[in-house]
Amino acid sequence: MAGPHFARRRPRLGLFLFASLLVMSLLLSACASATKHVAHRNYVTIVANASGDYTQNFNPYNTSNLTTSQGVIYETLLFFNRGDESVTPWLASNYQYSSDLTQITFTMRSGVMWSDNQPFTSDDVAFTLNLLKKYPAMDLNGLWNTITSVTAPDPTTVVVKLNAPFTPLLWYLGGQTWILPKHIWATVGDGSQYTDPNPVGTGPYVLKSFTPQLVVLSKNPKFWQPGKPLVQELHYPAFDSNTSAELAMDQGTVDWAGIYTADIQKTYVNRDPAHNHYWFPPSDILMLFVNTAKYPFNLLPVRKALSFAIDRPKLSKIAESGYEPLASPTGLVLPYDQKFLAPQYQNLQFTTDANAAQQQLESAGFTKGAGGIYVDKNGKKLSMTLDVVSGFTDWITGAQIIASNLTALGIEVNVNTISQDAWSNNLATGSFDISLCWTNPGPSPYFIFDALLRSTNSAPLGQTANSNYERWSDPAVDTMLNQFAQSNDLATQQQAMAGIEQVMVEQLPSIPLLNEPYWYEYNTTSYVGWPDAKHLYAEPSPYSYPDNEVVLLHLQPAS
Amino acid sequence: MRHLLRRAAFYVVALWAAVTLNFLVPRLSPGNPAQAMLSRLHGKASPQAIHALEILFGVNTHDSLWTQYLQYLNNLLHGDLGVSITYLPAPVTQVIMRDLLWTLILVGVTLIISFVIGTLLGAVVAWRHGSMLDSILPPVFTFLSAIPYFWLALIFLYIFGFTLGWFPIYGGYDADSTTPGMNIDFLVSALQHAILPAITIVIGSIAGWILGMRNTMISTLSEDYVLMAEAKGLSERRIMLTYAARNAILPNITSFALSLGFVVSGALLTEIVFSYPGIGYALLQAVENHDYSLIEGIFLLIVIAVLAANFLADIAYVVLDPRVRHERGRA
Repeated sequence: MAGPHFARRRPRLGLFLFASLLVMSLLLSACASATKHVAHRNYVTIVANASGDYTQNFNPYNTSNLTTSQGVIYETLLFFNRGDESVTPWLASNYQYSSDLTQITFTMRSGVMWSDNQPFTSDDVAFTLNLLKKYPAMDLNGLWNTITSVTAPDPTTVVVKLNAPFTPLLWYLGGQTWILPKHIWATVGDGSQYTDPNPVGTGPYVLKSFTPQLVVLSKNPKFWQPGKPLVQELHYPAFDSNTSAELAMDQGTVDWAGIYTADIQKTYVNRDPAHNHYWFPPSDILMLFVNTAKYPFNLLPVRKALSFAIDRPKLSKIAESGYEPLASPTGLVLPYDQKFLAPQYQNLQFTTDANAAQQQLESAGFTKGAGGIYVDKNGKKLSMTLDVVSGFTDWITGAQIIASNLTALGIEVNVNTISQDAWSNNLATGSFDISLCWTNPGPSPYFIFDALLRSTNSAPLGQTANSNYERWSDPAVDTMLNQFAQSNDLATQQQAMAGIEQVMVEQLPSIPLLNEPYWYEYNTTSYVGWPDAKHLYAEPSPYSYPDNEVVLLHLQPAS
Repeated sequence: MRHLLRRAAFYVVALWAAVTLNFLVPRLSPGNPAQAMLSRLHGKASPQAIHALEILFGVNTHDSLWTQYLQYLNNLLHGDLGVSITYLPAPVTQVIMRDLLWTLILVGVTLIISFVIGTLLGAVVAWRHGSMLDSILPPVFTFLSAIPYFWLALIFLYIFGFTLGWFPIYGGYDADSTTPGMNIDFLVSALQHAILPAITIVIGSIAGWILGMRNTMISTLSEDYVLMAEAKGLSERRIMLTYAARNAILPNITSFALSLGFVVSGALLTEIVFSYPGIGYALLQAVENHDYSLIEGIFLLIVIAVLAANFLADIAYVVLDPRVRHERGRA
């Protein structure tokens, strides 16, 4: 009715608006900076995680998302290199076990200063450890389950007494306990609730500036290693997602990252093959957790059938872009744990064998029923749910491969893609059938197996298990773990470990799939000296603490 | 006036209901903060960590849900939103203040741009009902907004940010070389960083405004009073804007008010794609970490904003539409 005969005389307002919007955006974009040129910089830009904007909190005993203080600001007594499983003195210049292994005496390095010019002494160490006792929320590694007392008899000595020999404690105590300045923390009360906005540490860097989007640390001129660090500043920009962090990395604005990237050769390395590098060494083992407290997963033949049916090479190639090799059936992280690999397992590898899988099921009394699905003696279908975290794209692909392998064998599988929260809750409370999960890395194989197999880390179905989610309970394994932990003699530890490896290989309490990687990408335009397969002087990813410090201290300006 | 008072009473009840749901719903989901944090550490913690985390987050509280609820209401009345455990021990208010301004500016400005341009275009397109413009514009914009926003934003980021390098690819400003504050460098940098996210939001949302306006306007145009105005020989602009558009805009005003309320919830996908600071991502983090206080704080903000915006819309209706005044006045 109000027809076009009016409108034809009007200027074309819509088109005009649309055009002006376009022009405006083009004009505005013209003043935006052009592509960033990668030039030599006196700082290193680091992406350790992509979890959004920061709050000004440098407390190393706090799990808030800002984790830039561990290693680079607050240091540890010792440094454990996973590459060769060696221990390097750090803030402590030496440590000594008593003959019965129930006392550790640390000698402090001399000449170490806090960044506010106060001297570092054994008093700081004793204070820190006793603070963890006073506020158990800070004692994330449960040190005081083993420690009975910590004293500082003189300014260079700290004596730690234990209730029983427990050698793995040295890693948590020496390698993962961040030493705090007594003269500052003595007045803050509950250290777990302290924000520590202006940290004072002994490490190579101090806080220069903070905004929620960028944390800048600068060189600590009082750092105890003369002439180090050579990198003047560290920049930690905040990212919300791997996607934008990845683009920044591809653009050359990021020097050091630890993020998962699919097809990295094409998306990253090929953009600048001379400078863009990556290396994904193993961290721990990606396991198929099987709920052994539930039928039919309590049956060994069923677990064996699952393991035989899974096509691990395909899993590695398709789900993990070929980054990760197959796991050792022993559950050891190779090559790090090579010295613990039992002689009879030197060449043991997983094989995919559908016939063997069928034989296992049939030996346990399963027969093929309707639709080619196995049924047990009572006619119950062999059916299971595979939990996987939504958003972990590589795992989802992996779960689909596993599901198709098992379906081909004659098992009904539902892939259950759920939030990380629901997934971890299912694992902890035992309300799952099979589930993909990582294991707990550490500087010896003890840490994975202690978490995975020790019965005290398990719990009845419905109650929260610490880490033994598959709910394996075997007194013999507990004994072997204790045998390892109560000794620092390599032969004794090798013997204990061989027994555990045998359980892993023969009993399959949990089904190892692939090595789980450390993600690590680096750019050599401004700085060189990064760790690589030939120079594994520290774990290379920026989210490994205090390895991050060791890596930064190795960097030198590129010539 | 009585109408507005009655509405106000309704809003108080709605606020209480929302606050209660706010308290209850996060606590009904499985898991707890300690478990969530442990899983976020990817196994890089000792098996004992769970105990320390439970103490840290106060998980094993023995207070009943009812006691916690009363405590929560009491704190709320005193303006205490609690402590965020995602950003422990930062107070919730600090986390919200950190992100709120970014969200208000980006989402608020794009909403207004989108509403104004979309409604104007809708009016014009309806006015020229059946013309070339009408047959091209609505389908084109419908097509654009039918593209999943996440994908659209990624494509824009990749083409205009990464490949062409016209725009920065992440962040709210160039944090390496500028300092936030009232200085030219920062403002220019912040503007540059906002353009690409803003364009994607506008493109993703404009079709709704265009179509809404166009469709109502077309039916308005067939009303007798428009014919009457034409017969009187009034100018086209006047007929289009004061006669047809003023009546057609009412539904769009309602949606605008609602959207205005939701501005404070942030633009999660935009924030994720462009690593842009804002409330949406904080909310996501809060949900993932079972950060009850932060969830409650942000939802409270959203609820208040939505209710306030609706109240404003009620008032705007009273002003714009004489029928509302008269009918309600009689009742």
